[in-house]
Amino acid sequence: MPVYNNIAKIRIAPIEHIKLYYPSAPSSPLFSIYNLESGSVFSIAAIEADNDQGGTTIVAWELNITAIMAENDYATKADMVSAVAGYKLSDVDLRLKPLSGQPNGAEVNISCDSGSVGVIAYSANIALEYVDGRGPRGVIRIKGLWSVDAFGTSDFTSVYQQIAGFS
Amino acid sequence: MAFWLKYKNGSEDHESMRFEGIKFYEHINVVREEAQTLNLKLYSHLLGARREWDIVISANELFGTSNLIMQAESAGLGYLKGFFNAENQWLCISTADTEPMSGWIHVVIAGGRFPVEFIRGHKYLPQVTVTLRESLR
Repeated sequence: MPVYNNIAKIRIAPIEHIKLYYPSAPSSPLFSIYNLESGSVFSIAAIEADNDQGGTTIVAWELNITAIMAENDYATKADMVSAVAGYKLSDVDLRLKPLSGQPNGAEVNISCDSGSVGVIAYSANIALEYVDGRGPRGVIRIKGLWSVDAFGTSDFTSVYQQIAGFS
Repeated sequence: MAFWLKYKNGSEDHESMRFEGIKFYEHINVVREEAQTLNLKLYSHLLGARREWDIVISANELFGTSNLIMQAESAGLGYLKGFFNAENQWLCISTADTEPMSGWIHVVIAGGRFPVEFIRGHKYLPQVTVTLRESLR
């Protein structure tokens, strides 16, 4: 019997593609990046605070996205580099690679304006880095926050069941 | 430890809200008059005692349901600002889901800056630390 709410199973998952949205065009992604290299991952970590029982309480969830682009000519990405560096993200959509026998993986929509599962804040940056000896790659790193309620909502339940491979 | 806070300004209706808090410590603070008589006898006269509570309410209750478009603070944080800025405050230690009818303790709170800190420096992760002092002995 699978355990659907075992968060440990979904702490980290490889990304297949990523879409970036900005306030200037909130309903369609300004940039869609399909050519991602291995090491592109989505992870969730707990933000904890000390409680009065000698332990800690989870007060929010931090999500981290690392997207490593496979790109021959970064000059063609100048507008994207400029946008990631200069504008505040309004939304991110991810497609995760399947972790189990699922043929198509799980579409994970992390949306600022979707209400209950909404990410409350994003920080994004981009850099050219040497990745595992493969030479310079454009690396986008995005950090966001979820409230503790995110995992309790029905719309997220279905998402994390899929991420965990139990659709 | 669930508890309720209530505040009231002038003739306005009171406002109350239930919190869980991640820390809730109760202390007793005793005031004594201590001295020594001419024949060196010591005495310590009890003047009074009051309870005090150190409370921490963290981001799990104060995280806004807002988003990048709305940028609104959470109801909990807005309530605590009202509580901090009120003329009269009460505490009720109760796990009830609806506002308790009894058990309210009139408390006072120190003035100054609203006692909020932000976890990891993130403005959406507020954490409020307050000390409430029983107003009556």
